Amino acid sequence: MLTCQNLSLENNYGIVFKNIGFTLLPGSLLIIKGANGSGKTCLLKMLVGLIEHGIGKILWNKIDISEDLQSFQQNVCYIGHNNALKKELTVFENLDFWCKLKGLPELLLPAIHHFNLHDILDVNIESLSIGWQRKVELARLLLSQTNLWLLDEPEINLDKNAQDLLMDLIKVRVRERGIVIIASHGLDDLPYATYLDIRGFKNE
Amino acid sequence: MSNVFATILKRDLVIAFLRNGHFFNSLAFFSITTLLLISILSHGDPKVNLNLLNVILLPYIFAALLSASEIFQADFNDSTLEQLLISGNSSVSIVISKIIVHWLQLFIILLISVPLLCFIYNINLFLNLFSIYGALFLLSLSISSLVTFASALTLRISNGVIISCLIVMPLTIILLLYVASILNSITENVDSSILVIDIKILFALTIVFSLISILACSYVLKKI
Repeated sequence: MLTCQNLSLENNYGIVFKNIGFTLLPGSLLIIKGANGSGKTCLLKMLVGLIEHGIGKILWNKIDISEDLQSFQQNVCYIGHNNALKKELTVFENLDFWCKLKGLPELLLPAIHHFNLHDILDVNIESLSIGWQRKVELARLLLSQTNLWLLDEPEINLDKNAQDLLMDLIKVRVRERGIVIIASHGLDDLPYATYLDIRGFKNE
Repeated sequence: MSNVFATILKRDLVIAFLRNGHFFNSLAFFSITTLLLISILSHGDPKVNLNLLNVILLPYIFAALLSASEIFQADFNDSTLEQLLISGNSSVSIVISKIIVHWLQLFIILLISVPLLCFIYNINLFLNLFSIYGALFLLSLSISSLVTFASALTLRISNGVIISCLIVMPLTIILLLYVASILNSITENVDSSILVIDIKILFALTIVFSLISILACSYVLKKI
């Protein structure tokens, strides 16, 4: 269970958002909406511990994540705006690296299979189109058995098929009682999702 | 932790090998500045020639400082660094692997240039092999540790390399003095007890600088 209480963020230009709070039970999908610059990415980074959350609280299974951030982060898979891939390395080398880092080499093949990456395993990342690079990045979701997925606009640069593959993955994760939080401009009207528009939290 | 460290180190070494432009940049800078310094210093004075091994130290330090921006920048730009930091593994592994990769790339330059200079200036390298390389090994390890820390500290600053140099320079001067003293002792066949004392001090400084740099760098990375 993930609980956020009074999360606020202020930068040099003023308050980005103020007093955001929500509780997500296992098997939840939350979609964060908001205009550009409204703080969606910052909120996700706050949830994963990349930005300090100040006076607010983030509780994972009722324990404050700041008590043992490293253990909490082992439960999280965060896919950011940029693809965390090394251009000089091949698709296989990139995925193999993250797989070894998580210590679960048996998950490599299912990840390759799900996103149909067989044919490009020996191709350097820099030779791939942006869409394929995003697919390789999203394959990282399957390289760990984490309970909390934080996805920052995961659907950008993906074609319809790849978007369907991604949504299948998210549905399965939610069905398996994982928690998925997505910051996105799209993904409207999903029946099993909860929506949070953070523009409403600027002046609360 | 050892598995994580080996995985990161292996990847960083492969990338450093593929991006060999950085290595050749450092090598070219080092070679040019060393040759310039030698040509300026060795103007017919045979006494200066004896201490020419010291000449490589300054270009080496500048080459190390100039390559500081490459240590974390690529990982920072493509978000690999933030993914590594939230992977649930200790950031110490990341820092140590970065130090080793930086150190290896630059130590190769010393491995090549020292025998060359010893040959040119008739310094008996084989007789003093362990002392010379021992001193240079300790110096290069300390410098790489300090430079890695400075690089992490200035990661978000544009042209951070200048600030990195300012942070690291005072500490490198201390190291430089000891290594120069050791190399002088070797080339002038000074009493070995002085040499041993200098090497011990350099060893202690390397341990202190490396440990502080690793811990400070890990802390800084978490705050980025």
